Amino acid sequence: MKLGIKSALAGASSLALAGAILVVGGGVAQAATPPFDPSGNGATAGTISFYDSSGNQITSGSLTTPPVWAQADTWTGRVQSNKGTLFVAVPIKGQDPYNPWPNTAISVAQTFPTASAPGALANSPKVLAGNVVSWFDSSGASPAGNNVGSASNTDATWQNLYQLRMLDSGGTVGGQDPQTYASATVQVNVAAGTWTQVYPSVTATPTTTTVAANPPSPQNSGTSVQFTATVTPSNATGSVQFDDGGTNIGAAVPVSGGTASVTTAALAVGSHTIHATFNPSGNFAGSAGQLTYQINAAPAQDTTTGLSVNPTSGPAFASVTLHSDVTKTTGGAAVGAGAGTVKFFDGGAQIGQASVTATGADLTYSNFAAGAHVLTAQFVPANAAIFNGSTSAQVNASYDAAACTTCVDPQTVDVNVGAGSLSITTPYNSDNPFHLGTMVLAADGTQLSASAAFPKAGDHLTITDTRAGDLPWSASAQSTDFIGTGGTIAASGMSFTGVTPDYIPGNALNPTSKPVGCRDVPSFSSSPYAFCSASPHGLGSVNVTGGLNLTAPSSTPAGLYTATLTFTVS
Amino acid sequence: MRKLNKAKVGAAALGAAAISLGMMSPALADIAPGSNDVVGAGSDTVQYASDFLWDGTPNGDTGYNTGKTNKVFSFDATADANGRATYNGKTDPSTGDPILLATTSVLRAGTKPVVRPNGSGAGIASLYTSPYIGVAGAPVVNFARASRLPKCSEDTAAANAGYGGLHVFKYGTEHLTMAAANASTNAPNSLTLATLINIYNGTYLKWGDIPTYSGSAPNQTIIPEIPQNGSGTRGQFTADLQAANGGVAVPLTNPNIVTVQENDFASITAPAGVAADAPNAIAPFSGGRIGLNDSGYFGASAANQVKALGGYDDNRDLFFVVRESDLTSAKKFQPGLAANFVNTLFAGGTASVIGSPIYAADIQYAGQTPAYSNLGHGVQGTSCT
Repeated sequence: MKLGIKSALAGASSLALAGAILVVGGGVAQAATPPFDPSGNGATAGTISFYDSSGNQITSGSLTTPPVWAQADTWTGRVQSNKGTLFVAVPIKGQDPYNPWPNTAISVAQTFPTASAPGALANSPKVLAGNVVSWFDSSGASPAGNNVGSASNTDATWQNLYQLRMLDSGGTVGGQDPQTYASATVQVNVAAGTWTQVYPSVTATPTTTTVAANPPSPQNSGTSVQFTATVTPSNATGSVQFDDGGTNIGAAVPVSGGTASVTTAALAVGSHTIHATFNPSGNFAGSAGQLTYQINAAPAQDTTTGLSVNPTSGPAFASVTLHSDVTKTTGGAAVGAGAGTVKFFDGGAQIGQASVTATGADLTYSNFAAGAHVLTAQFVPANAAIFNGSTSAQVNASYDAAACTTCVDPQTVDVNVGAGSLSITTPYNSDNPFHLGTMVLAADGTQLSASAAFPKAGDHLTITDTRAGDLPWSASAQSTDFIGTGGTIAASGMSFTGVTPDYIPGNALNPTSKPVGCRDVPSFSSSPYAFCSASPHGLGSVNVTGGLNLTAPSSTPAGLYTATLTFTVS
Repeated sequence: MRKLNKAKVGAAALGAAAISLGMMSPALADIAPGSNDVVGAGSDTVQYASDFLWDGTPNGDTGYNTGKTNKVFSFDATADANGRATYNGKTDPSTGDPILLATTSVLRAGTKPVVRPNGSGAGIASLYTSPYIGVAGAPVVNFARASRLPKCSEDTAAANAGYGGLHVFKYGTEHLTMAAANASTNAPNSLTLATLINIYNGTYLKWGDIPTYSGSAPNQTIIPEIPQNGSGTRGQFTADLQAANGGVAVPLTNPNIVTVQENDFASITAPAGVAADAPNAIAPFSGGRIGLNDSGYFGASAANQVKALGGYDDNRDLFFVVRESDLTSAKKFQPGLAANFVNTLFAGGTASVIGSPIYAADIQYAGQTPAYSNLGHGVQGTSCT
């Protein structure tokens, strides 16, 4: 593969990045020693180790995050040298390791010993390099630099192996001696995006991790629980990731003094298996611990509902704000948004409601009439399993009639409109029949006939309409046949002619604007036949007059014949 | 890699002349770059930053050449490693000035000695002028050091020579100031460009001619010095004088002007070889060089002999110049690597040597400030051809 060297342009930013290197496992001890190590690699000054920005030794990491420091493990440099520089070289099988293995500096020259180095590196007499500004390119194949980025390590057994070299300079020795250096070998995994130190091999220190909880299990839902992982040995460096059955609880927590803690109040009701996984950042092996934690459903909490009204006095019908805070009775914390609804009451009448938000519940009301008002707020929880409802203390308010220049006092007056009635009346009935008289034989002897004005003088066929709504009406007439002792006379022989409205002064009905239309009934039958109607209509009474005529065959036997003439108005 | 010169020059000019004559014969004692090495020449102002970038500093800062198969050679502008001129012992009868010796060296193994390109102009010219261009495909000089940008005439000449013109890389900046003898100078602490115009055009011949002068030597004659022709420092200084003179070139008509090797401490401490004249000498001088001198790089006895005067301070850019055609050269610089020498050393910003923070300390050690920029083709990125 090709070696990709990425310019990290470190400075302060790279220091921060390097501190976040994630080292997966501590298993470098199992990596195979490169075929050119230790003999044949050209190093004459021993080995080197790598460190993060905190001075913790690291043996692997992401390709995108270089170590910040490198230090010779035993070499203190040539006599009176005082600077160290980290180089990278591409091993080429069959070639001299120090020339022409392609190589280049990847750090600035670092003065040593230096008090500014972190941890155990501070003031160390060993050759030190800091501020590593170039590292392996994340692609592993597209170098950012021109100095070794395109070098090819073509031997199958040497693939992905690169030698890091520590050279010294400065002091009285001047420049670097390219044949005098300490070395380490790094293996790059392009697919995984990682680098791993494979020479010198580093045996990771075993660790153990246990986890404890405070307060101890079981607890009610919503309880804040702190889980603490204890990693031994206590000088182990790295971070602990807590998880609840595989779901992370927050981000990884750096281990400090052998412990790391996380706190959560979000555990759901039920049994939880809490894992604490230690991920080492230095020469330590990973480890993990776990515990079981029970969360019980908590009883519904009592609540306290407060009510404030602003203003509690002033003009009637002005805007008034009613604010309600709903808190847990124990502890006094707000129940929180979505916990339920607050209903607002004026005496016994609900005047509005509002959902509980993070800042309580508010209602703006502008319909308070003049007078005294007793106001309350009632919290209705959304989930009765979580909160109990509560009602606020009463708040008294009194509002005045509004001052005015043009004062208005609206009154209420009511009236009933009767349904009224519609009727058609005559004075005739079975006890007081209308007499057509005696029928007279025609001169030619072909028929009998009788006629009479209807009604009789002094009597009235009267239609009266007093119905509400000024409705139209129509009057009709129908008749049965005349039945006598000797036979019958057909109703069809009877007619009602000269039908005329006879208006009664003082009524709405009149011949000009609200006339009644009438027509003759040429022949009666058992079916109604309309003879008068009022449309456009008007209320009041009107009389109707006409002539009632009857003809019968001359063969009709003598006797009294009677029929029922029915008037209908609707 | 700096072309090392073993000579230790004494304080007196006569001693220097004798030693320099002795240096000419053992040319083969110096290492000569091979055909795969990269050779640079030119500006005296840039030479120390260039030396440190390739070879590292005495302070232990890393140089590029460490552990490399093929190396970079940067030939100093003069044969003297302290940046001083050498003389042939003769005097120009028309001016009375000592004649600078055109020192030679073998710039490439297997070639004959040639005159060292001294100054930005000579360095740039070596990129397209025989004998520095060597034979086809095997140039003697690969890059030029320059304290000024190439001129259109130079870019055109490089294009006409078949190199596609010139390509410029800025690597840093430094302050160009006026320098005087540190302890003994009669010069005031500040010389503005307006004053310098009157000094160099001969209006002010003595210190007392300067209206604001309040020193103790008003009757002493000013010795204005000017770097040799082709010097980027000379070009920048005269351009600054012209700009301050309303765009009109200032004639260098002061009869006491002395032509000197740029940034040569001896030109201040013993103008024209006369140490007694040191209090009256002034010269445009590399601020970086003054700082490097004061750091003890040239020896404890040389430190603090020259100081910068106030009133004139040009924060100028500094460059490396290559043939445009070399940017796409297929010749790989180092075995096993794909990049040619331009891309390895100059192009690519922080991925190149002169732009990398790894080597920034080398530039700083030379008293200059790292500031990388690929200025592109020709003059200020614009081709003149």
